[in-house]
Amino acid sequence: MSEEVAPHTHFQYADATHQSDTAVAGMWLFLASEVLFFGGLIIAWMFCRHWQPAGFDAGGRETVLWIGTLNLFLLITSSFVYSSGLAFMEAGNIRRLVQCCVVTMAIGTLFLLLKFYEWHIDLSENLFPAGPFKITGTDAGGARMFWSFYFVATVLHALHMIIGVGLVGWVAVQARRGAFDDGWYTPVEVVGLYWSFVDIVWIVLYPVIYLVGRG
Amino acid sequence: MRKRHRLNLLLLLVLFCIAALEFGVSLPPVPAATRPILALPAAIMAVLVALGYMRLLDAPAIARGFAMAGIFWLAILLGLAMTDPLTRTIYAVTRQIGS
Repeated sequence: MSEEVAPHTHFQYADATHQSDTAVAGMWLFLASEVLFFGGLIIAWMFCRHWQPAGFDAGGRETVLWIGTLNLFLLITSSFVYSSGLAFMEAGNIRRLVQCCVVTMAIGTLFLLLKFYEWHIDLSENLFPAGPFKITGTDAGGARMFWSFYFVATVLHALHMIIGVGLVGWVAVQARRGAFDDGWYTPVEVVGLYWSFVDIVWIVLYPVIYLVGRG
Repeated sequence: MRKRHRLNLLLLLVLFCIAALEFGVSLPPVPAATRPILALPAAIMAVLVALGYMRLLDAPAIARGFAMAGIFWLAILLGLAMTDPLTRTIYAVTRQIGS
């Protein structure tokens, strides 16, 4: 006699909750590895600024503060919107979930467009650390190190954002196709964890890139 | 559901306030050595996002364990990496002519 299982539950799990808990735990494990990945960047920032504080801060003062600040508020808002979508999903309101996903994607895309614009400004002002560089004199070495950190950190974050926008779009498409219901929406939760983590990374990068060097 | 939406909205407002505070306190001149403290509001915001939007407290025990392990190893990583620059003594190099 075969036991009746939920349609989304795979054979190796005792029940749907076991499967969902495993997926959520797996995502947290991945995010823990991401913490260490971005931790390396923070080490680079701490180490370089410790040895070249004046040059590093001189580099930081050249960043486009208004774009970084606007992007911070955009990403915080996007986490709020996606989390609201998850709450709607829990209540079985798929239409609202899709709408929240679309708004989240729009905010994420706006973030990326602003980031591309900011890179355009940076490059046009000769702030790329290789080649002719805007800052000269004794601060040039530290400033070049800052801008190396800046480009590595922001490009890595933007890559995560692009993946995140794609994942949120995938959730929206799947939800529209009726793949989720109020009894099974684990992918919505897992993608939400990833999206909020990318938000956290920007929350941490914002002061070290835009604020510490000023004042 | 309504309670969850209210919590989400409240968290958004709190995060906005902390972000504005972080921006505000960065404006007055502060000695360069103490400016990294400006990252403290960011750390608070990161914890709030993890607890609120990522629902860490509602996650399975093993997921909470993974999150704690991530923070623990990050502390080890940053702590060990900074022991060298924070404890190294820099001696002035004197140039000896003719040696």
